Amino acid sequence: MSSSSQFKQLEKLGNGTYATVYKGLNKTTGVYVALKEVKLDSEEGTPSTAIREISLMKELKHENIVRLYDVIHTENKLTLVFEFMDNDLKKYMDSRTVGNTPRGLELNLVKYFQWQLLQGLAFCHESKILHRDLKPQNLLINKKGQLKLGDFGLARAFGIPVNTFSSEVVTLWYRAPDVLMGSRTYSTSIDIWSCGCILAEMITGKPLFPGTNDEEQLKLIFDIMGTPNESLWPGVTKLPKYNPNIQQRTPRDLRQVLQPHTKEPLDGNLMDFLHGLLQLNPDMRLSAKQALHHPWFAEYYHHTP
Amino acid sequence: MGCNEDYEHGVRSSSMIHNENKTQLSSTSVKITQAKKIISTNGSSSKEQFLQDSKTRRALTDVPVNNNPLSQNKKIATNSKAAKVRKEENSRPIVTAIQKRQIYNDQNAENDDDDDDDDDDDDISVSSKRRKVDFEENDGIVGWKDLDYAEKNDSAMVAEYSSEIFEFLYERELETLPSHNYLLDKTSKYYLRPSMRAILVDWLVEVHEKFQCYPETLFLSINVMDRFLAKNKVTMNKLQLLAVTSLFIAAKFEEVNLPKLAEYAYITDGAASKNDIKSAEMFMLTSLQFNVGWPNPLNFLRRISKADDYNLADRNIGKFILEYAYCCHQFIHLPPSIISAMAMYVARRVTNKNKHELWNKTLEHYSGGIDPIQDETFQSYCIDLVTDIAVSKVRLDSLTLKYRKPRFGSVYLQTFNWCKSEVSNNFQNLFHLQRQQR
Repeated sequence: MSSSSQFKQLEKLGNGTYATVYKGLNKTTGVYVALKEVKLDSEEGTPSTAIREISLMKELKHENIVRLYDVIHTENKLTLVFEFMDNDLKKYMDSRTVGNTPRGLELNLVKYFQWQLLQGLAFCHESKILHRDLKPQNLLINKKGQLKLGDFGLARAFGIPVNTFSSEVVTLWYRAPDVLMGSRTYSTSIDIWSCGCILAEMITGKPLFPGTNDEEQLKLIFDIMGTPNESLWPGVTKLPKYNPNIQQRTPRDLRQVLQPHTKEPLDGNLMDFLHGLLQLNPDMRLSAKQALHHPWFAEYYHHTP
Repeated sequence: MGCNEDYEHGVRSSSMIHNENKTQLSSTSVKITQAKKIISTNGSSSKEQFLQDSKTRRALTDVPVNNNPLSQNKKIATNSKAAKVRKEENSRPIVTAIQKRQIYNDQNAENDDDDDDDDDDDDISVSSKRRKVDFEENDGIVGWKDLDYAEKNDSAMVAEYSSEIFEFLYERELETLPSHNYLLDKTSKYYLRPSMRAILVDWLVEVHEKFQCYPETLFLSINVMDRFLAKNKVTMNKLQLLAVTSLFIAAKFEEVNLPKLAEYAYITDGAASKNDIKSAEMFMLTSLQFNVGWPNPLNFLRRISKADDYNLADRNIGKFILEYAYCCHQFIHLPPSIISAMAMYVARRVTNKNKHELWNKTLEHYSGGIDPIQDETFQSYCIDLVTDIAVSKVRLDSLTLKYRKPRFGSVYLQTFNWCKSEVSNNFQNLFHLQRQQR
C-alpha cells in the first residue's frame, strides 16, 4: 500500500455509486490517477460494495478494464487509486449534442467502442464476474480512443451453477426485461442486454429505453421489441412480476426506430448484431464471446491473431 | 473409536435434553477460552450446554448444537414474515435462526433465498434432465465425455465459459491458499493447536447455519480465517473475534441479504463488540490486501458431480466430506480443487454406486486432471481424511449434527460407519478395484 501523501488531490470528477472520485497526481511519478474515496463511517463497517470492487478488480487485469493500482487506508476513509481516464462515454456523447439535438457517434467509432466493451466484458465473464451496472457513465474513454469498463461497485463473482442474486441491479434504462420482471436467476446475459442498449445509444446519441419506473421501463421495451409470450420465451409468464394484462405489442422494425437519428445507413449486419444483444429471452441473447465473432466485427477479428 | 460412539450418544441424549428443557430460560455467557475447557472435559458438561433458552443468542458454547425442528416449528408460524416468504418459496420448513428472521424482516427489501443447497439441487436436476438429450463424445484418444455441451442451453451452467472459468479458477486457487499449514508445523511461530481452530470452525458452521447464509460463505470465511492465521499470531482471547470477523467479511462478498453487524456482535455474547469487529475487519482486509475472492470448493465439487451423473447420494456425502475436510486441520494447505476431488472420490466409495469403476477419464477431466488410481499422494490424503472422520482428533459437534439432519441428506452416520470400517479393514474398499487391477 502506498501512502496518501504520495498523491495530490485535484478536481472532483464525479460521484460513483458509493464514493466520490477525484483526479489525482502521483507526486513521485508525475502520472495522473483517479482517486475514489470511500467513507468508512458506516454502521456496518467497510461497505460490501468496496470489498467486492477491490477484490474483483484485483483479479481483473485487462486492457479494456480500468486498472486498480492501489488501495490506501487512512483513519476514516479508503482511497482506491485507479488508472486515470480522460472522459466517460456519457459525457463524451453529451459534448456532441448540438443545441438540443443529440447526435450519435460515427459508426466506425461505435464499432470500435462496442468491440472494446465486449472484449472487456468477455474477460469479466471468463473470470466468473458479472458487472451488473454497464451504462455509458461507467465506460471510461481516453484520447487514444480506448474504452475501459469501470465502477465495479455492483459487480459480483458467480459460481456454477449461478446462485440467485438480487434483482435490484443495473441502472433502470439498461436493465434487462427478465430482471425487470423479477428474475433472480440471471447470469452473464444480464450484462449483454446493457451492451445492446449502449450500442443503440451510441448510434443515436440518446438512450433507447429511458423509463422512469419499472413498469414504464418494461412498456418502453415491449413497445419496440414486442411483448414476449410463452412460445417466444418459455417461462416468461412464471416470472414474479410478469403482468398478464399488459398491452400486446408486435415488434417494431428496429432499423426504422434508429435510422432517423443517424445520417449513416444502418446495414443488415449491424441490425442483426443489435438484435442478438437485445433478445427479450435471456437464453437467446448472444454471449460476449459469440458477439465478438459476429460478422459485424469481421474487419476486427480478421486482423487479430 | 469407543469415544466416538460415546460422543454420538452424547449428541443424542443432549438433543433430548434440549427438547425437554426447551422452555427453560437460562443464559450463560461463556466465551471461547472457557468453551474449550467445557468441550474437552467430558460429555456430562454438554448437558449444561444444551440447557439453554432458544431465544437468546450465545457465545461459542451455549448456542444449542441441536436446532430441533419440532421445538421451534410453532414459532415459525407466528414470528417471521420473511421466514414465511422463504417457506412459501422453498416449500420446506425453516428450522433455524427464527429470531434472526425477525431482525432481517426490519431491513428486508429484497427477498432472497438464503439456502442455495436446495436451489442448487433444483438447478442440477434440471440440468441432468437436459443432459440426457444429447452429448457429444470426444474422440477415443482423449477418452472423456464433453458434458458441458449438453448444458449449453442452461444459462445457470454458463456452459459457454465453463472451461475458461475453470482454467481461471485452477490458477486463482493457488494464489489464495493459506501460505502454510500453521496447524501441523509446531515449530512455526504461527502454530495454533488444531483443537483451538476446530472450536472456531465448528462455531462458524453453527452461526453460519443460524444466519442462513449460502454454503459458499462458510467455506470462504474458513479460507479467510486460515489465510490470516497463517501469517498473523492471534492471542487466545481474540480468536473468536477473528472467526466472527471472517464470517462478516465473507458474507459481504457472497451474500445478498447481509446480517447486521449487531447480530455478529450479539452472537459472540460479548466476546466481540461492534467496534471490535469493525476494526478487526479493516485489519484483516489490509492483511489480505483485499484479496477476498477465491475459487470456492463447491464449484469444483459440482463440476466433478457433473461427471458423476449428478448422483444425489454421492453429492450429499461429498458435501459433508468436503465440509469436514475444511473443518479438520490436516488439509488447509491443499488447493480446493484437490480437496473437492478427495471428497467426491471418497463419497463414491461410501455409496459404492459404482462398484466396477473407481474413477474414469470423464471424472479425471472434470476434476482438473486428477487420477486417484495413479496418484499416491492423493491416495494418502484420502486415507488421512477417512481416518480423521472415523477417529476424529478434534470435536466438530455442529458439523456432525448438521449432517444428521434430513435437510443435509442425513449422511453423517453412513459416512462415519463406512470410514470406521475402512480404518479397521486397512482401507480395502477405498482402493479396492485398484488392487484387483494390479
